[in-house]
Amino acid sequence: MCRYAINLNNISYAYEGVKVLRGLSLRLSPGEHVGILGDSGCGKSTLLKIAAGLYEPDSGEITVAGERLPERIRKQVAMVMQGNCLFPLSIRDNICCGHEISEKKLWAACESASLARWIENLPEGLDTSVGERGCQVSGGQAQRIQIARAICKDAPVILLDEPVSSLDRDTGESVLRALRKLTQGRTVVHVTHHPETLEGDYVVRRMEGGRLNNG
Amino acid sequence: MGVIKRLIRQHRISYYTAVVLTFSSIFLNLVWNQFLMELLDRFADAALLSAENDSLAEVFLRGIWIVPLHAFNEYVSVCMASWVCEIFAHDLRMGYVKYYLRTDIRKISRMNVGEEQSAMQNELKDISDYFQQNLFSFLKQFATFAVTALFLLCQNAKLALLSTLPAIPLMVYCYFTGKVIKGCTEQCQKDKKQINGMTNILLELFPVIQVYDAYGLIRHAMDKRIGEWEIANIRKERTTARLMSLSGLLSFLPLLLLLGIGGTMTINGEISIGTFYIFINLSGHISGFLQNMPNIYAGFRRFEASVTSLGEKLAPERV
Repeated sequence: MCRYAINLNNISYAYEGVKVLRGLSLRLSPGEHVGILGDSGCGKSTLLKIAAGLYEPDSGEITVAGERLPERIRKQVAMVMQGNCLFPLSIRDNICCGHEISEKKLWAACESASLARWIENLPEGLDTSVGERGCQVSGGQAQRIQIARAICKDAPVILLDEPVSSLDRDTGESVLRALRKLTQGRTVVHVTHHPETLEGDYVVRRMEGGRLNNG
Repeated sequence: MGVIKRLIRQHRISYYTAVVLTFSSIFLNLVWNQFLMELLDRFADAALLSAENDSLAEVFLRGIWIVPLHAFNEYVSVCMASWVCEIFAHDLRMGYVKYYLRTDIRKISRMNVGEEQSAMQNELKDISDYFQQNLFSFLKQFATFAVTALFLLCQNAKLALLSTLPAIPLMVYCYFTGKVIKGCTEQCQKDKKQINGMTNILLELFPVIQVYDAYGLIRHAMDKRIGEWEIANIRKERTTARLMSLSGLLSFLPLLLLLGIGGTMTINGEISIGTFYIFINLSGHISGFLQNMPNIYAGFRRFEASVTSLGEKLAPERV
């Protein structure tokens, strides 16, 4: 049994012949938080997608929460991504993603994501549609819905891809507060351009030339 | 419609040549019908036929040149019309390209590429299809209607009016059925657009679907939308079939009236058999145009909407 929550060993990955990751290694113990900084296009998002079991590396080994197969890895992770990643369905559908979740658990997730008060004031509550590309909700609310979705999944590993980059300062602050509740006690990889969003017990690493250096 | 006016101004020689060729085609068609009328009248007059065989040959010779000339004119007219339409469509496409090349990069970066591309393709396709299928065809139909109506009125005003008037209630019926069908078509397009939107989102959010195992949710949402589209499509097809079949049945009325009234007038000697023939042969140009007018108008409105939308982007100097 692997003692690491995330173990990426000597990972290489290329997009159409262009090498993005070159023998990258990352080991995180359960509950450890790592923040990854780097320029645009340096491969940060690719690294997250490999860690989420969405891409298979060209070479190297991956173990996430003791799982090696991509479809099993995906069950162990929850992701909060940048931009609008909502389905054109109701808030409930966006949080539950078609799974049976009790009302109690659902409202607890909304409470943790600072959504509960807003939803209570909506005429249709959790059944309110978020609209095409989430046009009926603000950027901050969209990110909070993503956070509530991740809380409901209750996965041991959380992957964050620039979760507050498209938000203004105040909204970003409140989303970060909600994120802290999500990440508590879980293993976290947080990819960002902004080091100020990596508050608390984050170990900061910098990504350059397809490898991770110490921040 | 300013864009179209500008295009016509820029290519006025080729455009007006195509218009003249279209009109000459109609004129030759009427000359051919006039020739047939004369020929039939001479055949009908048996005494004249036996006494003046030379005259009949003369009539044949006088009319036979119309056939190759008409064929040649049709060929040149169609080629010219297609060429002009292609020039117009090309200029519009290039105008659109210039619009993007000259737009501020900050404005472009805020655009939704998928939607812009889809809107551009749809608008340009609508306009270019309309050019190819309707622009000169509509002009020809309208000119044929107007010139033929005048021609038939000159032949026999009473029969011309009696054979044309029954087409008017039919036109009203077509107008209202066109509105009903348009409503059904719009609902269908709306449902189809939702499916396309859902497909785009499915592709964009595929990582989310995979990580959160949301396949069931998406399948259910897609099934619901496809079901709605299917129902709207069936309703549209059923409504169209019902309304159009009745319109098809009603469209026989003007011809039946023409046969009844025109036949009686021929028997009574009020008109010649040749005149009766050309009325039967040409009445379709009038009633057909009147019946088809709601469709022509609806097509024109769609074309106008696309042109207006393009016109907002294509400033005068760009086309």
